[in-house]
Amino acid sequence: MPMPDYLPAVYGEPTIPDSLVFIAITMQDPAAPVAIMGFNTIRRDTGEGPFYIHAATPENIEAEIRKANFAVTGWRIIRYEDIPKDRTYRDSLVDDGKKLHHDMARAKEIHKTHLRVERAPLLAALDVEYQRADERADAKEKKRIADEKQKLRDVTNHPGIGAAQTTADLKLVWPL
Amino acid sequence: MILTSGATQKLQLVTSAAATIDVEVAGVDFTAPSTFVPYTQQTAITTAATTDILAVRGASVYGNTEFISIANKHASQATDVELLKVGTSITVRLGKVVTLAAGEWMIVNEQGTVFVFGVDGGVRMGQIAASDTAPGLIELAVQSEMEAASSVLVAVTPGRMKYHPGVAKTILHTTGTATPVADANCTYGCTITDTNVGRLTVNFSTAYSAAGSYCVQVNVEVISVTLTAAANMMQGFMRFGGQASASSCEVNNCDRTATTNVIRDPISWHVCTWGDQA
Repeated sequence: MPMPDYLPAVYGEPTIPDSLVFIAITMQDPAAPVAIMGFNTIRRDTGEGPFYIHAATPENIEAEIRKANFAVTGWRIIRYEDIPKDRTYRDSLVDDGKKLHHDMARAKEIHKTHLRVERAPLLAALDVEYQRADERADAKEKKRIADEKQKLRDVTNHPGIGAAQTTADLKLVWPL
Repeated sequence: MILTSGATQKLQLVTSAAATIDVEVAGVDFTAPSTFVPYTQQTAITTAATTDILAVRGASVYGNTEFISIANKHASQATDVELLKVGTSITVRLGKVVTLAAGEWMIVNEQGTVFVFGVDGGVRMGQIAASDTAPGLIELAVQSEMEAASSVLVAVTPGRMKYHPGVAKTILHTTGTATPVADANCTYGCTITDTNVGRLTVNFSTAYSAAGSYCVQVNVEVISVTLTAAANMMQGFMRFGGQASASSCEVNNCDRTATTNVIRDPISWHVCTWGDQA
């Protein structure tokens, strides 16, 4: 079966107001993916007046980053369109200073995690079948089930995962 | 009008403190059959005392007082003032005892209506604060009164409602697929950062008084219409240490599959926070 949609688009894409600026933030932790901050430049939440302008100046952006207690190495302003729409491999997203892209080594590990998540209930069901076969002393059925379980364990070693060059390639590797 | 007649009736003013009170009384004397003579009397009072402000009119003379002005010229001293009519055999109080703050004044017009004017020159409609049972003046609540949430005598204005402890200080709903986007129609008091799958940092526009001293409620929209499978149920929660900052918090979401229970993205986040802001 094909890889299921990780996050279906139920309501479609939002309308992004001009007042909303997106910031790509690179964390000090090398294992952390890039963070995406939505910075509102028109606010209505402090003081007692109406809406006010909170410009996306470097000072204001860095103050917002400090408020979030992020330890960062850098940030830059990006567009919503620059953010990959598919979040299947979101935690592998990194910023090279010009473009957001997926770190394939991390993406492959994430793909294996997705396989493990979808595999878990299948293995659990086979465990039940194996137990029943064992109760019947059905050695042939137990062997069949054991082979099925081993196939499921092997899905994370599929050669297509290591050979994948892009996240699109990875999504095609779905031996479940 | 206030009538005084004969050789005994007069008007007095009782003052309760050593303010600086100027009194003007004006009217017309009538002596039958047709003699009308206007009169005025000015009196300066600087002590707590009972002072004559209109002398007796004389035998067979009817005094028709049409105007009384009582002004507190003192820079800081307030005083109670009480208008009395000394009659032939009884002294009566005319109206209520009025407190005149420094700079305020009171008039009684020819209809007998009493007006009290504040230091800004406007009519002070009454000294009674509006309550559940009486109409009157209403004061506007300030931030500290809203935060205390105890007064039943001050009114709430839209700009100060947000300080009440029962009002959410941040409201967040997200849309978007590439990254959570704060829905402009129902987001208040915060910005967001998508840090990882299933993890969201919420920055408060105004920080709370202290870390860990505010309430966070998280809900999420799940990813499937099928609710019979545990995997399709999700749970939004605040991670351990998620309130370590007074200016932001981190919320998470996981699926409820017993075998995996992984952190993952919801369709949308719904977050509200309450507490005392700095």
